[in-house]
Amino acid sequence: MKAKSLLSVLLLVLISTMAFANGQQEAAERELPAPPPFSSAASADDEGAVKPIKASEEPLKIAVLGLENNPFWIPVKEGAFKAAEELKSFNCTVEWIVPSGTSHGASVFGTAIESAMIQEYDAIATIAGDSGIVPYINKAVDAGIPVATFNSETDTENKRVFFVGADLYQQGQRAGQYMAEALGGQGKVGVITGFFSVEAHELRRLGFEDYLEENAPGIEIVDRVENQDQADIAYSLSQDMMTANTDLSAIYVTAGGPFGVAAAVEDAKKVGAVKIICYDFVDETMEYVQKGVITGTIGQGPFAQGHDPAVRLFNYIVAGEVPEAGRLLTEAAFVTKDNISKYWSK
Amino acid sequence: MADAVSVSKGQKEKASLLSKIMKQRETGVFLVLVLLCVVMGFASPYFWKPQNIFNILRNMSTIGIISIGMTMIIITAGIDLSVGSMVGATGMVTARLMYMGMNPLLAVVLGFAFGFFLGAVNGLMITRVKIPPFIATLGMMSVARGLTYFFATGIKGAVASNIPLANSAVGFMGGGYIGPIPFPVIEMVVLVLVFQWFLSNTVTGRQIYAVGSNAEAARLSGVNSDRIQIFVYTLTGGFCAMSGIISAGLLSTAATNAGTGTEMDVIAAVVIGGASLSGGEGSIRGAVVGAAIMAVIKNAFVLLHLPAFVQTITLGVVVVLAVASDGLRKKGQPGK
Repeated sequence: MKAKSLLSVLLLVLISTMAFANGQQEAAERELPAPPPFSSAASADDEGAVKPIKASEEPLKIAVLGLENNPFWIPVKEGAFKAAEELKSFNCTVEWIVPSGTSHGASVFGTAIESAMIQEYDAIATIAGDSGIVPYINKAVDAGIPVATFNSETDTENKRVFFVGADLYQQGQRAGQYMAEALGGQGKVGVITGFFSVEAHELRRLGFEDYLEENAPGIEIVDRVENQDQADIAYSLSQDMMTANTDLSAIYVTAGGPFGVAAAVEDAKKVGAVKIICYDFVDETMEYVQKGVITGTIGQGPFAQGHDPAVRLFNYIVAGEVPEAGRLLTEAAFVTKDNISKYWSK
Repeated sequence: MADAVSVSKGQKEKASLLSKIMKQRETGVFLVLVLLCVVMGFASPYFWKPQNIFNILRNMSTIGIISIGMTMIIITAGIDLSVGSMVGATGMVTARLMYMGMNPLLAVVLGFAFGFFLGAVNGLMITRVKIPPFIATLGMMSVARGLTYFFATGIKGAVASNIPLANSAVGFMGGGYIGPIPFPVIEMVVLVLVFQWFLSNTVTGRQIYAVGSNAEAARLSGVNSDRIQIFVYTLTGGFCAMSGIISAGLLSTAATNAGTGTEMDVIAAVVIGGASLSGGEGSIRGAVVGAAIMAVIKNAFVLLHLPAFVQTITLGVVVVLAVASDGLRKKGQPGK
């Protein structure tokens, strides 16, 4: 009996919240300019430094839906916090929200978009790892809440206003170019990818391999293996690759755990003989770059990924400013021992 | 005259010993491993290089060590899905404590204590609260991974980050060598020998089998099956701590995703090695051979440049074949 009444009270609360939220959404609807073409791409001159244009008359709330399950997200979060600080005096609060769950997918972020709508955010920035998130994005935009995506997004066209992040295929091509330069166009390369089933990792792998096939026929890919983003598996795989190819000249890592490769190369006393090219600016990777074990690592502007969506959404709502392209591609900086001080300090 | 008799008796014993060995499940699995190695020797000139053999042994050491505990759990008709997460959590706790300036030895001891504690919680959930092992450890799998993130948080703001492991003595546990032999391999071999002896020759060891073959009969004959179950889950938590520290030591870093998916490799190794998921059957020797088979297959695929999807398929096929062959072997036996 007690449980039953508790349940009915809960239900009542739920229904009234939903009704309330619905009413609020209609009230929040405002005239917004059309977004830029979905697939148009550009790199913004003010990447990571975009400023709010003018203060909002009514108080605004922007949600940034991110992840915190690995160190990659540290600068992303810093970016979001910086945006919050900047927008504070423009009558806007920015909140960094981490939905429970560790995947990039719609199961996690779709639900998070729905609850951000219920909480009456005026704009939402989200990670959009797979096409399952499309209906959620469209629902929010239809309700007058503009959505921006960052870090990863689906190719399936949807109503998001803009995307801030890397072009992963292009990153792969860059990696291929740097590899060809590092090896002087000759050698045997092993590829360690996170998961063959993750589109982002595949784009980086294919961009790399396509570039080499076209531009550096002297470089041979001897192996393609999966390390499930784990450093210890990367360590074993690297050992096996060096055993099977005594003349291996480099290892390319598309995703997580490059420091496992670095440790294996160091333990095998092949630093310099086996070059390593990988991604992102996490501390373990950067330490090996500084030591010269990792030849270079490619960035994707994580700070801008956390910072720019909130500020650009704000400008879009308040000043009607439309970003120059649907896809704002972040800088793919190549960090080596020589320029590391510009990007990282211990 | 007397000599002749004793000789023929000895021969008989030898013959029966041989047939006994051939009948044992581990022998079949061991022959598969030998065959695999022979084939690999022909297929790749690098396979038998000592360096490669040591790499394989080192790569299997964490799986091998946890499979000791998992074998005992599976013998009691249980299962532990949380081992991978416990590897992550214990490694992270140890690294975090050291990072905060704790004496490395004490940090390692506390890392182990944490592993034992998580394992004991599994055991208590299963025996005292009567939650089926699959569900209890599924819950722990998530809780322990969450704890890993928790202990990884706060060093660089509020985001979980990998934690560097500075101490070389702890690093030695995972990345050290004695002569040409990687230290984790020695740890694995010692533990396997000790616990194989324990399982076959001690009262508690035999009681583990008793609980798995017929829990009710074991209870009636005075075996405290709850105590046995708590014991095996707790012990497994300790093996996970060992692996967690080895893994962190090898890379000088405790990674937030360390051990993810390990449970499947460990369960596969134990099952290939002859343990029955319905309990009462299994051996640590077998499980280690199972772990070796999987490690050789993984190594083979890189050495032979085979596409990764073939490896994934092959590992699955090996598990199924191992269990199928066991079913066929039992069919031929009287009374089964």
